[in-house]
Amino acid sequence: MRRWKSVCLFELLMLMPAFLFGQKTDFSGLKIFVNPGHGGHDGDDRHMTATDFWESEGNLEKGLFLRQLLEDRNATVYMSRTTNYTSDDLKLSVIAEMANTANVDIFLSIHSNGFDGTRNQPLMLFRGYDNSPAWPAAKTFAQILWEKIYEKSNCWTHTFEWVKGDWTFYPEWGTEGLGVLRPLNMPGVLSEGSFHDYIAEGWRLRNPNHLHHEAWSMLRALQQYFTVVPEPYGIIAGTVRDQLTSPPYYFDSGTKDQHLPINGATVTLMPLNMSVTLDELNNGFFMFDSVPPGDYQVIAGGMTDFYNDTLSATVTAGKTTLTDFLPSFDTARVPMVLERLPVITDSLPFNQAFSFTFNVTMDREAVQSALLFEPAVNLTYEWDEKSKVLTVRPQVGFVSKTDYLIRLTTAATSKWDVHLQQEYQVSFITKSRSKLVVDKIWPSTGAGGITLFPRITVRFDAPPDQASAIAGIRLLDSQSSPVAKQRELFTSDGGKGSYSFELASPLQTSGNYTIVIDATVRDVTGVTVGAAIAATFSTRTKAYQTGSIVEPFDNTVSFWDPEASGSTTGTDNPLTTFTSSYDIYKTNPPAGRLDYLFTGDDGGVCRVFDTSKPTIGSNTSQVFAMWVYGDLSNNNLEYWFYSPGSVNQIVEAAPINWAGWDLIAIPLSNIGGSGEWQYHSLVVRQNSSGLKSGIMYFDDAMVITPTGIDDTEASETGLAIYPNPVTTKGMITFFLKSGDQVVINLYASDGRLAESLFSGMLDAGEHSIPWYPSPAIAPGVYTLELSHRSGVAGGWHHAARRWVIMR
Amino acid sequence: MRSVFLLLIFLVTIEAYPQSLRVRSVKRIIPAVARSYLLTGVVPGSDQLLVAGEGYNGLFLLDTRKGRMTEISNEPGAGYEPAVTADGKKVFYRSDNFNDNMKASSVYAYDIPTGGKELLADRGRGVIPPAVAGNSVLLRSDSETRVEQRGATLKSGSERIFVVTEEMMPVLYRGGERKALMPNGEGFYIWTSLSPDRTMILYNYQGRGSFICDTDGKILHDLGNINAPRWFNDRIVIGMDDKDDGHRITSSELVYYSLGGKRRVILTSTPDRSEMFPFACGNRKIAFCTDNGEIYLMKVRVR
Repeated sequence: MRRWKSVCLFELLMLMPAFLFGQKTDFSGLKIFVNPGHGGHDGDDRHMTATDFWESEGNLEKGLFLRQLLEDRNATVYMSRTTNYTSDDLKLSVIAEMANTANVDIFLSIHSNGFDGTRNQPLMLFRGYDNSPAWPAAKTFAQILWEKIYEKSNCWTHTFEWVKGDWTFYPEWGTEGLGVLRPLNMPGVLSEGSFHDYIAEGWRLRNPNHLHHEAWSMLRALQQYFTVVPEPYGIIAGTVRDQLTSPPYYFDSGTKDQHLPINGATVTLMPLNMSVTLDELNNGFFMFDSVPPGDYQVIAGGMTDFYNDTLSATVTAGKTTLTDFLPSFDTARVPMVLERLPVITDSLPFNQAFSFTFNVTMDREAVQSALLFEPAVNLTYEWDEKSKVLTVRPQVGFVSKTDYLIRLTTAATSKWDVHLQQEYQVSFITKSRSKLVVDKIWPSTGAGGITLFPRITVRFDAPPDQASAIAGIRLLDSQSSPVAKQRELFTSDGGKGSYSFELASPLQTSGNYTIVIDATVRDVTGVTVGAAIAATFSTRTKAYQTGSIVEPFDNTVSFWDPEASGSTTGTDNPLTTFTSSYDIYKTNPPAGRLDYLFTGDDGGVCRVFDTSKPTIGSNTSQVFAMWVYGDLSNNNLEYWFYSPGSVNQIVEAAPINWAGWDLIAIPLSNIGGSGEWQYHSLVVRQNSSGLKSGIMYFDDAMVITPTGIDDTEASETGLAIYPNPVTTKGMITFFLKSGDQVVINLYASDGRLAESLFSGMLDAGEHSIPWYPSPAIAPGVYTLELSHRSGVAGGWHHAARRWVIMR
Repeated sequence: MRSVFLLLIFLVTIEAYPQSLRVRSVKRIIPAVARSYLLTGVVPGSDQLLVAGEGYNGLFLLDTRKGRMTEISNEPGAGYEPAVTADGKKVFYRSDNFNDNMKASSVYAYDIPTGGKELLADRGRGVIPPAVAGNSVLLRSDSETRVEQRGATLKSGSERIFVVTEEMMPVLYRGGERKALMPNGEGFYIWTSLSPDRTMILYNYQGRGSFICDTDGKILHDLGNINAPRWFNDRIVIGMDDKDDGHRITSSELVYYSLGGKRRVILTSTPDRSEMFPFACGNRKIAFCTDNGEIYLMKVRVR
């Protein structure tokens, strides 16, 4: 009862300023328009690969929560969308007109930002120039909102007030500015609350509480702007992090983000006895809202490897108290093996890898010294970044049909020098092995269209004996003459091995070549292939075209290390680098060299950001290409571009299923958006069936104007147009062998897209599409291009016809 | 004789049921005061347009022949949806004041021949833009609804029919009757307007497309993707097909919909210019502005 009286007294005191200083007690009578930006997971939505964050989702979650907060305080709220479907992605003009028609007092567009992955700070935009806003009140509100969002977090990379007029912020847009602010007849602000491509922030944006926290800040800003009495309650928010471990992605040193968030901890607020369990989304964020002012104890617990931790926090009305935990590690825990893989112990292959998972961080050297194989085996060791999982492999291979014993003695210790209490033992038997197996030959037999600059590659199930491989593996031309080798290379990984070589001179176009592996080729233990193997392939039929070089890869300084390039995730940062190569290059030295190592089995992304961001034009009949030295990794190569407004456009260039130099091209018509594009990044995206590491080279990115029209392809689709010339109605007919994605465009003689006639899926078979030339299309000679591909990942095929338009 | 008769029938049909537009010429209007403008209306029977500054702040008359500007108001919001009487003499507009950042709107009548200004409604909440039918005006706010006659009464019996948007839905005022319409169900109805012959209502339903219904709310036409639709005449609607990337307008073309032909046609194809917010200017011209605040006048051929 006493507590109840105290609360009543407290609330009365909090309302006193309203009576004394003319503040409104709530938002009664006020109309507010909330616009969660973008919508629908497609079109212009922003998706962050590293964190699987969709901006449309974050914006909507913030907007819906803000609406609830405002309506609870008697505001009238209008929203441009309350769901997240494609149909919710309304035109900016429509959103602005909704606000105008609703006759609201203020308009708030909610977004998050993206740049280069290294920046995280709030940005507020209003209409006009910095010092000449179209609505002065909009600038006032923008400043208030920036302050409220800034003060609710301590994970910013920049501290200055970033409040800008859109005409100043986007000088290249002239007086166009932000499309949603321009037609507003009331003050409007577009809030870029934080940077979703700063990976640590991207993970936080996956946490609804973090999004709600931003909505609370918006509420506080609206209360101050409309002179509404502030919240009588406060918020305690913060993070739980591992002080000993840095994240595997870019972070700004000196910020809280230099410590890896801890998933799954439980945070309790006392004496209110409220608890939250942290999610598993790598943000470590928690929040208690609507907390009465006063002193509290905040307790972090429920962590496997860490001691519970308690911090004091004082809550102030209308403010956030930030409480960040760096709990101490439990250094006295006795180490033990939690799991060993594989579980089976019978008939294991000669190159079997074993992994041991420990319950605590281990001393690597002590464990490696204490791990014994009997009979003795030379091993390779691989640790995870927390030193809790060890994977070992035989350097040469286990002996065929042999009993082995693995011992991990009590000499193994944790990082804090605590020993295993008892020795760990397991035995296994290897199966018999009769021959050296060829896992892969590239180019494979029957392959066509092979590059003229291949690296011939043979992979075995064991490291080959080098002398026998050099002597017994060769490339023969169509006359059965051996082709001279250069840069021969042996590699071994995971108990397997490979031999590869380049050729001293380029292969001939339309040539037939055969890779021969003699029966005598053997591995390091003396096991032979047993029978000779041959693989015949043919080279590409056309010579390479060249174009206007937009990025020669000559200046390494203009490229960012993958770690700092944003969106990079799942890589071993010290071993993933982008440097200059003066020994391997395509035209002139240097070329760019990418060394990458993915730490997981899938989902890794390795991005190299090119700060020069060369413009590649807008001509959709042209092709963007670069020389790429493939590593046969079976990962995926992507080119990333900006369309106007720095909207990221990702294009799948090719699966990396070749070795050596090849010109990897994509049509500009495959790039999303329109207008002048800029190339800005090359990306290797890890495939679950791809190699975890590799080395690639890049040289001479260029824009090519394709010469001629591919009549061969046209005959395959039977593309026909009539009448020609056409006046008011034309007909386009063609045949598809399979159900394909089809795009039909009409280009003017200068390459400009004159009209997009069709885009969509079509079934296999004959198709006839009528076309009525728009009066806006001037008479002249045009090129009609039919592009089609099967599936999203398939390559595009093009056919074209010249069409004369008359009036 | 029969051929002449058929030709006459054909010509009369074309005039009575115009179905298509074709661009003849486009001319940029250079206002005497250089700044970024929004086109916000036309003055019937004159060469004058109504334009507003950024954020619909201020309202001006723009002479299309010489670019001369006449300031009607410099108040916030004055340029949003002004209404002009059929005789082209009076402009009604709403202007906004902000007290503690809360909007309060007034309505004024501006007399074009004399430049005189009259306050019709002072600082109210929920004031919707004035609607004009013939030479009468509907004034509507949270506190009142009234119709005033501001010029000669027209012969048309349907003069006092108004359509406005209240609580995001079209509302028809006819005589003493008020009828709220929701032809497509609940949702945001924007850009509502009454056809010149006062028998049809044009609107956009929450960005999903533009429609025409009759005065009972029965949908007559689905116009497709047309934003900022306006009546060109009783048989043709003009508007814009704007595209954006979520931040910036990336392109916008003028389009029209022929009620007789039941088809939507792209009127312009100008990648370098984004035409927006068109208005019919007489029966042979269309005025529009661009995303960077330029004003243009387009001559069209009507067939």
